[in-house]
This record gives sequence, structure tokens and C-alpha cells, in this order.
Amino acid sequence: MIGVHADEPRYLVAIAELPVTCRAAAEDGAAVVVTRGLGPALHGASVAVLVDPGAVEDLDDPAGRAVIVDRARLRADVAADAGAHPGAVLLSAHCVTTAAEMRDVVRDAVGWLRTLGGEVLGLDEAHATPQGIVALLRSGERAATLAVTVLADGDAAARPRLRALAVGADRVEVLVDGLGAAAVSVSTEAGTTLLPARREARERLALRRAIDALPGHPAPDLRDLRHDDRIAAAILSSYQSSLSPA
Amino acid sequence: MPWGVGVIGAGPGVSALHLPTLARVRDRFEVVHVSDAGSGRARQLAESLGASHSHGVVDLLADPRVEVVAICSPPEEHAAQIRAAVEAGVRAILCEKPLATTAEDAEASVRACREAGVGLLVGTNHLFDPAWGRATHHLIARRARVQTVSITVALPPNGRYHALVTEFEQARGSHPRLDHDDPEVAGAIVRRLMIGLGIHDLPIVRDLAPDFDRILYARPVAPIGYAVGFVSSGVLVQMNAVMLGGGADALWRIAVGTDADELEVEFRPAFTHDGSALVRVRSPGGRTVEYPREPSDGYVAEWEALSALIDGVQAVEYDALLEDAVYAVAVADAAGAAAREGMLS
Repeated sequence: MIGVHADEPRYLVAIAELPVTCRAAAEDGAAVVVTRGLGPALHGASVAVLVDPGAVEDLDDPAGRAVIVDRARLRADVAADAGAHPGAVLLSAHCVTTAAEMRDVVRDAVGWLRTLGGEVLGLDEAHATPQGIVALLRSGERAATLAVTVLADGDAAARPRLRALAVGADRVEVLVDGLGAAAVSVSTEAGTTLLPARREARERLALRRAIDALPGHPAPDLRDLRHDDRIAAAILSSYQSSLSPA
Repeated sequence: MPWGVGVIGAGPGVSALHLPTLARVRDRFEVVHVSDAGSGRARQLAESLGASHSHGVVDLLADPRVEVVAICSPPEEHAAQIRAAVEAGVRAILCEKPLATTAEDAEASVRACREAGVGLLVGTNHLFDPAWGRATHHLIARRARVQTVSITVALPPNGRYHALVTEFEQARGSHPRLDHDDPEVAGAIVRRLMIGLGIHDLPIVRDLAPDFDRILYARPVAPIGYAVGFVSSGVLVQMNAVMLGGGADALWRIAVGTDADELEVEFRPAFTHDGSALVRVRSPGGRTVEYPREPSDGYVAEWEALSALIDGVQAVEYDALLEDAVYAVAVADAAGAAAREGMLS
């Protein structure tokens, strides 16, 4: 059994949901550590599961460890279902978020554009008002656009959601609701297919992926996270400017 | 007695759109004359209806049975044909969108109609779709402040939908390959598409955000389409459209983000008479409400609206028509220039 160290209650649940593969372990005896950073807390772990990463630029170097990133609106299994679409001619994402959660939501929206396009992105334009953002990006030679609607922070019931779309002869659309549940639909000339929902808890998924990464198969999660965060930060700088007095 | 309609133009937009639509309002309108620009297509269309046919507009406008004119010619000809119809003394005009391709032409056309008391309506079918009325009512009732407008259009070839509503030889072949890297070509594509395709939605955008401020970005999208962002009345607007060689059913979606909730309007494929668009409202907390669709559609509704203008039940909104046209030209001009400049830089 593989020792997993986690303080997060929802990851203790995930350990309980993998009773044959995992056991809860102390920090210094764990092969997998669930963490919010990549600092000394990793001890001798081979793999880190990075949860709710905040400021990515502050993350330490993982020093050769594999890093699995648990992202609220960009699950690895749903991303694999949706796939990359080199034949798409246009990519778009639209998200609705509170200002407080904007960085995470925009980062995940950028991640969906990267996933659907199958390429790294470049940012051409970003413009914001205090109520929203629009951005024009590049995925190879293709245009990719992002629109953000900012909800009032005072609404306690408000939950961010996003939609991403790859447009080609076939069309793939991902809709992520306020709970992070994703629906992927594929439209072709024959009609629209809604792919099966992924019902495994995202924490259990992250742990399984961490265990798969153990024998030395590093996942691209951290590289992708840094990419998405860099683009999101550039987009959000226009939003911050819109809030500043002229 | 139904009003006699003279149809200027005999292309797919007439065969697949206006003639089948007019057949649905035959108690109020009857096609009496069809003209083409020399293609000869008017003859076949007119004969099946027992109507007259001709080339050009002179004979059609001289036909005493023509009381109402439907202008379905290429956009560059609309303004001159409106003025010719007014001079001929017609009672009302339904002009396909756009009303004109320049602000000067739009002003002259509307002025001519206003001074002669001629009814004028532009065939902006999305604006007439009963679902848009529902959406507008929702926004007003909620006193929602519009923050973003995001429009996504993905269209397979029109022939797929033409085949459902008419019969004619479909044009074969794909869109010509255009050199999007040529700044002049890029600018021309974007301007033409905004005034020809984006015009479906620009009156709706003006309804939500009336004062065009500035273009943020514009670029052509292959094989033929555009990605345009602009600010209007402080609202961020994003318009994406692409016309494809095949594939999935048409997608035509307008998403309006407000401080109260998000409104989505999904229009039915062009040319078909498949009822109104779908209006969906998503609250910040996650509640989703779909309004029931209506049996009518924007194409029928625009002819019904023209009937109401002729009957004096509705007033002609000359100012709104002019402002819609001027707004569309301003956005299209600025987008074309931005696409050109973007390539240059």
C-alpha cells in the first residue's frame, strides 16, 4: 500500500475510497503528499498533489518530484474526454465569476482553451471594465477568445461557472457548473452526443493519478498550470487596471 | 385583399427565405412580381407563383400591382433601390439587412421614406424573433445592468437548410481560399462579414448597449469568419463567427452577462421555420430557467410587423432604423480598419 499524507478532510475521504491502494501516512513516511505548496512539507515524498494552488509564481521548484494538480474546473479525466482538436478553427471560453475567485476561474478557462486547442497559447489583447473582461488569444494560427463576466462579491450564493468551445466541422463544448461538474458534448453532422458524466470525486482522481505517476512518469500538470497562470495573470492585469482611478 | 409584393432579387435568400415565408402570410401578402439582375432565375420563381418577372427594377416598380417591395439584392444596392421604390410610390418596403453599407446612404434612404410616408422595415429577423422579445422583457423586469455580450456563430453551408424549404440547384464548391495575411484582404473580409453576417445581431447589441465606443480587436478567422471585440456604452462585446464547409448543425448563441444573471438566446438555423429561439437564464447561484419556445419565428414576425405598419397599427420607427444602420456601419468600419491595422502591425 502506498502511504499518502493529507490534512485536507476531503483527501482523507479519497484515501478511504482507495482502501486497497492507499493508506494514510505521516509526512515523513509518505510517498504521496497532498499539499497547498511545494516547500519543505514535501519531505521525502515522490509525488505531490497540489490542491487549490494560489499564487503559482510563489511555488517552489518540486526538485524532481512529480506534481499532480487538482484543479476545480479542469479535471484531468474530463480534459481527456474532451480532447485536443487540431482541426478546430476557433476556440472560445466564457466564464462567470466573482472577483474573489477570478484568478482561479480565468486560469481554468485558459486551461480549457489550451486543452481544446492542444497547443500553448499566446495573448494578443485583453481589455477590461470593472464588470468584465474580453481577450483575444492565439492557439497556433487560430483565434481563441475569452469573455469574463464579473459577479458582485456580495452574493453569497454566487458560484463561478465556465463554458469552453472548439469550433470546427465537429464542435466540442464543455460546460462546468458551479459545483465543478462538467458536461462535454460533441456535435457532428450526425447530431450531438453528451459524453458520460465523470462521477468520481476529483480528490480520488488526483490520488489515483499521483499513484500512477510514482514509477517515474511525470505528469505535465505543473507545466500546464504555470502556462495557464501566466496567461491568466496577463489577462487579469487589465482587470486590475480597470479598477484603478484614472 | 392581400397586398401585392414585388420581390427584387431572385437568389437563394428569395427562393429559400422570402417566398416560403410569404406563403405563410398569404392572407396579407401576395407575390405579384419577381425581378433578377439578369440571371434569369426570376422567371422560374415567378412562374410557380403565377407572378410576373423581369430584369432590373424598372419594370417591377412600374407594375401597378406592386404595392409593397421586398429588397433582397446585394447589400450595396439596397439604398438606391429603396429610393427608387419610394419615387415609384410604393406603400411599404421590407429591405433585407443591411439597410445600407454607408451611413450617408442609410440617412438618405430613411429620409426619403420618412418624407414620402413610406413604411420601412429591415429584415433583422433575430430582432423580430419572439424569443428576443421575451429576453428583453426579462432584462427590463429584472432591471439588469448589462456587463458583457458574447455572440458565437458557427454555420455549416446554407445549402443544408435551403434544401429543407425550397428546391433549386445548390451551388457546389467551397469558399475560395483567402489570404488572411494580406492586411487589405483581412480588413475587407472582416468589414464585409460584419455588415453581412454580424448585422443579424448588431441591432440587438445596440438595443443592449446603444453607444458604440471603440473596437478592441478584430481579426479574420479561416476559412471565413471573424473574431471582433468592442466596447459600447461601457459594455464589453465579443462577436465570433465562422462559416464552415460542413459538420455540426448551426450554432447561433447570444450570451448576455448582467449583474443579475446570465441570459442565453440560441437561435434556430437560418431559413428554417422551426419556431422561436430558446431563451435560457442562469442565476449566479446556479438556477437555470428555460422559457418555452414560441411556434412563430423572426422571418414570419417581420412580415407580420410590416403588415402592422401598413395597417397603421404600428408606427414606422425611422429613427431606430437609421440608428441601427449607422451603428452597424460604424462597428463594421472600425472592425475592418482594426483587422487591417492588426495585420500591418
